[in-house]
Amino acid sequence: MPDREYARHALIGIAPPQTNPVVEAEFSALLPDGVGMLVTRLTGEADDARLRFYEYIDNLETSLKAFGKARIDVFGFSFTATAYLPDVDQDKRLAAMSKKMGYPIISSSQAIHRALQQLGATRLALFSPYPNWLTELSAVHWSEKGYEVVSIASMPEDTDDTVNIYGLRTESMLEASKALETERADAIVVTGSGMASLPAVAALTERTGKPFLCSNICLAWALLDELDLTHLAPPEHPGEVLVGGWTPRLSRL
Amino acid sequence: MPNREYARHALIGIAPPQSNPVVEAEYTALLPDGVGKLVTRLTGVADDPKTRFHQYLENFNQSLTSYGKATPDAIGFACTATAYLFGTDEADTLGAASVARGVPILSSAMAIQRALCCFGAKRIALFSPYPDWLTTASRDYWTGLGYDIVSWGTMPDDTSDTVNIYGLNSARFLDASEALQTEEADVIVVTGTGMPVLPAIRPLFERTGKPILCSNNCLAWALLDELGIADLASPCEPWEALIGGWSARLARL
Repeated sequence: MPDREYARHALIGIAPPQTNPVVEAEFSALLPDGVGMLVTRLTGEADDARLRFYEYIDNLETSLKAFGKARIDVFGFSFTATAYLPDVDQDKRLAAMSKKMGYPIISSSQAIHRALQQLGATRLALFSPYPNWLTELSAVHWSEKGYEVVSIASMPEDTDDTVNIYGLRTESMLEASKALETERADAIVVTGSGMASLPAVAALTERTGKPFLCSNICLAWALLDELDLTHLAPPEHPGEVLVGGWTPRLSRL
Repeated sequence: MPNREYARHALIGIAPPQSNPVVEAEYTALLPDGVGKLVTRLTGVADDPKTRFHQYLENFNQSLTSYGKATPDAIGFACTATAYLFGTDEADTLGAASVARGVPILSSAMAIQRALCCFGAKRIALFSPYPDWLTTASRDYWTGLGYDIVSWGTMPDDTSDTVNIYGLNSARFLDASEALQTEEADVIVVTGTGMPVLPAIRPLFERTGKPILCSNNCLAWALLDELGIADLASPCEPWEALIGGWSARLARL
């Protein structure tokens, strides 16, 4: 039992991209009672989105040092796209940082992979809020991981500046996701931590009958799983997969 | 109505001291439905607490830069001690940052003063989790603003390294607060953002009959008040002063 009044089960560190307002909101619903969250931000100065993604991982140690002497049990790198850039070698760099800092570090893409393994899913219907170049990289990433991407769809809005992703709405996502062919898919994967997704889960699951995995659901579950705490958040409402109990908390967001 | 899925009423920026695990937890309970929070951290590398407190001010612009293009509607500087130690440095730093970003920025001490004005309180029973030198500075500060400190108390624990404050708990606080003489006080002020206080408010109110103002409930209320939305969180229990609805959410922490 940790020597702290709050976060009696675990204290999780989370780092959303600097401008992203969605991660903290969705994690505040996703995490079960007694699991606390400390936030630091991934930072970069570049206007070009791709260059900024590099900076997020280049500056990660500075982001982590912003926790001072706080002792987190596990850390979530709440960003998916760096894994899709072929020259970043994200997993290796996060492993080195984990060793240096002394706590487990899991990224959103690692969490999605872990979730797919947990579900035994090999065929994905992939939905992306990204601009085309990044959607294509994400499809390549999952194919190279051994998954069959049976269908791909994206948002109609202009997200060339990826900051625009943070203004997307779930109604629009539900509409755009109708282009996904999900019959042959084992799971629907919504990549990216910055598009509000949780309010769409029940409706999309009901429409398709397929498990709905998004970056934030997967990372919240994976962090709990890493700490052997998934029993604190069993799925219990329609559409909840891997981590549950959050549906009634959506009204808080 | 802002163009965002979450935080339909307001998006509040919160900057806790780097190692402080209490602010984010208590705000999770304090903020009403539809008011979101984005966290950045106050950072400093000095081992000496006083020097580090000043670094929080020196580095505040960097803390705000970590928001990237995110636009909180108001920002809370969730550290109280900086007001006690450095003359007008805190007000000057926050005032300049507020002008530069075009949003209100309030500190915990500013919020306590605003709350005291709201209550028309002049006589304070002051409780501090700080080491002696900082408790003295806090007494001098409130006295200098014209308040009458009718009684004061501190924790028996060693908090000479102020990081130790984060390991204090509300049960010990309740015990230690028995030394306060509250009969002549208009309110009880618990200074500091890093000691868990919310669970102690009900029993302390029931014991003393006095409103309990702490740094976190004052700043949460002041930020809502600044945005004209304090009515979203009206007190609904006798012990909830200024801001309410949080008692039922303590089980989440």
